[in-house]
Amino acid sequence: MVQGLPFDKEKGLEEMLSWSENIFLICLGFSKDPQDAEGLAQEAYLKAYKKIDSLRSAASAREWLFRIVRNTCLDHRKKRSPLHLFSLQSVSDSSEPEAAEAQIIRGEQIRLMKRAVSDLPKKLKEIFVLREYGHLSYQEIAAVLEIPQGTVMSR
Amino acid sequence: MKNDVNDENTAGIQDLIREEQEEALRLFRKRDFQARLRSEPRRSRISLQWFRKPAPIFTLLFLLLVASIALIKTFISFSKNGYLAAIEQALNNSPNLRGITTGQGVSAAQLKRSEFSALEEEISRFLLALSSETSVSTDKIEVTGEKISPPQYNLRQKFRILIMEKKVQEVLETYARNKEV
Repeated sequence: MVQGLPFDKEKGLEEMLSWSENIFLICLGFSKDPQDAEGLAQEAYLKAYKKIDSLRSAASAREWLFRIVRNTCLDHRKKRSPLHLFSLQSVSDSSEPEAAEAQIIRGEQIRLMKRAVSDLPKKLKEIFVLREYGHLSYQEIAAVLEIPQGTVMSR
Repeated sequence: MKNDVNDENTAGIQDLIREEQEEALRLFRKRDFQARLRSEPRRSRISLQWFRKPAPIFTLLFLLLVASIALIKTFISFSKNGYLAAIEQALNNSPNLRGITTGQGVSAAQLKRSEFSALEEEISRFLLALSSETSVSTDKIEVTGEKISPPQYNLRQKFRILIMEKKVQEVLETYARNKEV
């Protein structure tokens, strides 16, 4: 999308879909569970579709959508149940006992890592998830969180 | 030394995150999220546009009209039932009048059209006789019910009979009052 051009909703919506993996990963960072993350991503997209009329500038569509994603995830966290265990679905696919054991250990490490992320202060966690899971640039994170870029970098 | 440990930890955490993401993305791609979402928002958008079009206003007005008709029908039916109940109550208090119809050997609800006609004729004759005896105009006691249509036959039939009975009761009451005077 190019800044200055009139916003084409259909094209905009298509472009938003191309960011679905980033959005899913951000949701994963906030949600601890791939299934939850997918549900959150879907909810965020539906919210975006409903609010698309409020989007005036094509240039800010990405930040606008990621802001919706972040707000959806934060709303979900307020309502959610205690920490979910990371899905170890792939363990059952493995026929090698050693590989299965290694996966269980890895799954446990991931679970502990996610718990540590979850325990981070809210402001740090948001930046961490957007950066490490969503792979957003500092500039994009600043736009999504509506804070100066310097603040993002210092955190 | 301390920096080396920190770097090692950071690398370890990043490895874990990458691994988690790879696994989750594998499932995500397998489930074809985009295709499912493409169909879902379209439905959502259609539902939103639906409210913006003028057509729904007419649809809503139409639904409102239907609801009003249904409400009026219910009310009328309720009134009719209430009226029937009141007449029945009056008839129960006057066993002699009840005998006019029950004396025919059938209950009003079970009457067939031919039987009903016969009964109606019988009652009309009775009313005429009563009219001449009590000097009450036959206009006042004439029963001119609506044409009976088969689906509503039983209810209307009963309704008309009860009206006739009520008129008979009124005539008899008038007659009794006149006699007292």
